[in-house]
Amino acid sequence: MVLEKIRSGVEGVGALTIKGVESVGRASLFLLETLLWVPRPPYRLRVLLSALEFVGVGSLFIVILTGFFTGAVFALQGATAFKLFNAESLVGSTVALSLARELAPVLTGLMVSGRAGSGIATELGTMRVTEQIDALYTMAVNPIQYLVVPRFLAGVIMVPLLTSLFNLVGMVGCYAVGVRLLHIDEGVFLEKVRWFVEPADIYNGLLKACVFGGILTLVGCYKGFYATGGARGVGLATTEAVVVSSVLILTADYILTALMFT
Amino acid sequence: MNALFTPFKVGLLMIAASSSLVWMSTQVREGISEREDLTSAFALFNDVGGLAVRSKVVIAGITVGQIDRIELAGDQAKVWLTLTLPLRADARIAKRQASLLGESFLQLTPGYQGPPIPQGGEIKRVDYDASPSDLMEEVRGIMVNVNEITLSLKNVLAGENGEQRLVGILENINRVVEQMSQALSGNSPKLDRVVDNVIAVTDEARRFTVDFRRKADLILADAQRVSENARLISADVRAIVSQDGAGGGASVQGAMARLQDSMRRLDDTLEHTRSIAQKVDEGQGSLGQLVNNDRLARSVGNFVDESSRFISRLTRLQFQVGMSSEYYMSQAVAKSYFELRMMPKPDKYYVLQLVDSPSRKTSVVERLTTTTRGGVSSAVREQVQTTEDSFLVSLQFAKRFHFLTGRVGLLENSGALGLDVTALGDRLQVVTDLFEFEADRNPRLRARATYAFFAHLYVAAGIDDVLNRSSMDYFVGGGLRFNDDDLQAILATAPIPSF
Repeated sequence: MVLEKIRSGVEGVGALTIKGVESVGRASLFLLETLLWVPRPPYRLRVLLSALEFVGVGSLFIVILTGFFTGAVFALQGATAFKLFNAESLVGSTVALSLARELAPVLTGLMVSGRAGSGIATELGTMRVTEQIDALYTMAVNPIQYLVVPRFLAGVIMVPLLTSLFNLVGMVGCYAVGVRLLHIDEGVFLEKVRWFVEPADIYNGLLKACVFGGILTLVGCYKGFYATGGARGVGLATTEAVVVSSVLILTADYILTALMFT
Repeated sequence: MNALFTPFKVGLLMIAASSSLVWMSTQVREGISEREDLTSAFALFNDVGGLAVRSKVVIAGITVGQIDRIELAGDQAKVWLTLTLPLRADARIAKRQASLLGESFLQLTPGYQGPPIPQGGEIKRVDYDASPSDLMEEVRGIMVNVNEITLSLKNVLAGENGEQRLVGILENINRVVEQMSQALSGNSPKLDRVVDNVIAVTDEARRFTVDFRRKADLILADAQRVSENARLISADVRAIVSQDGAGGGASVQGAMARLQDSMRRLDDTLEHTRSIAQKVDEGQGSLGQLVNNDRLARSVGNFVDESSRFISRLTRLQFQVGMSSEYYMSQAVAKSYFELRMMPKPDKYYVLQLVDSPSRKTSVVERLTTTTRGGVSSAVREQVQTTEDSFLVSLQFAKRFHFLTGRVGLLENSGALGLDVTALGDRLQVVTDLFEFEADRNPRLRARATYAFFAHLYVAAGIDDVLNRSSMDYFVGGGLRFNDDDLQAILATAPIPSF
């Protein structure tokens, strides 16, 4: 009896490991197949434009809102801390550097993941459970090329652009709080921003955003593409897409930061 | 309607985001390291606390450079600077504290005398500012002295007789002051007389200076008369010398003749000079054109500037020559490469590669041989598979970004993209190429890892055509890569052919 329980326990661990390895393998093949389909014709511009609109334009409002208040809050907190050292003039540069390098790409990635990534997972999951993806196969249309590639490209293109706007709006928020509300010297505020932030900081942030865009769209597509179990399965796929892409974005952020800025 | 709006909305977002990116990039600091007219120099400091990479270097509060890197040199810190102005041998640099938080910056005096400091040269005069710890040390020393003084005072005043001693000192001071007062009041008439005498002496001196001024005018008038007489005497001497034909007079006349001859030649020379200057003024001749023709002068100026820029770019250009060979396992063939890298910047280069490669496409030829022996004809049909060598060209542009290098261009006669990853101080390199994009098969992906055991020698191994299983192949090889300064010198000094 005890031996039976031990055996079933070991089997459970083994099955879980095999399932995990299978998932990683399937995801890797999914990624590889998507990348291979990117340069191959036919190019579906209309589908791509639609995906760009969904990922980019659709996320614009929440990105701007998040960006403004992120900059404003960091300015408020930074000023309180710097005031202890009589160094409030460093608020602008600190917030600008944080936004350009970390906050803008990561928060944009998380926001777009919450909105567009989940949407993609739901859309593709619904197509899967209603056998629309299978129908594409029967019509000799590769669903990876038709469904995944445009969304993947939309993420890679649009998330950096949204990040750029996040940077700008975040600095506006920081300026509004720092200069207008807390009366930090405007000239010193801007001078410190100009001195401490380099174009390379902004470009590295945008490079991160490219990676995050790819991650969130691919995870959304993957979870939706392999969704099973009807409406409940679609819901689970959506939740998993947001959770997994958020975790992957934060992990990738650490790795990219270590590579770029150290 | 929605289909029409989609491109519009996407385009609008792209324009807005791109504009914000461009605006922010121009607003933040222009990277000093991206400018071309920069001076690089270093200075050795005993203490670089408060300094960091990208700390400012200022002159009179104006930023003229930044710290590039800080490294340990023995027991000192070697601080490398990038500056926007040239330095001279007497340049000085000093570490100054920017705030009480410990942040510091470097104050530069660029120097005004001596030869210029070359690129990568040392700023030898380094001044040190007192750091807070130094100040605390000084204050501690002063406090010790103050303690000793107060202790001595305490010993003197706080003893049993201290109060009596203090009263005694005050009584002595009172006595001295009283004596001084008495001495002054007793000698008051004498002091009055001394003051009267001083006034009388100064009156005498004033009268003397007035008389002297009057006499000086007379002396000057006499001097004028004397000089007039001297002029007359010299005229007489000239007349006598010209009339006297004997003795010393002859030699004087000879000297005068030579002087006149010299004066005449000088006149001729001046005349020629005047003629040349007149031609130059009128714009005649090459020199006149150069001086008077503004357009020509500007052209010459532009030409000199362009030449300077061209030579600067050419001398900065690095040439790297490489030769390598690879053996493909499945095909059992060898492939040879000759590579020339032109590197205008450390993070940018152009690659020209000539490849001697056995063709990947083989052709099968059927050969029919008929022989007749003893009236009997026999035919032999042979199938010969041939693989021809082909000569391929690669031409790529590469841009390095930290440890990643992206390449784009032509690879082995086909459009290609490439991505290289370098590690271990560039000794290990993983090179991936994606090329031969065709509709009926996957693109050709080749991955190669190279490791340089020595400075110029490396071994390589890799896998070719990963995405197409039927033609996938493994290869190993090695090569040689080195900087060729001679090639650079040849290109820099070679004459440009004209047709």
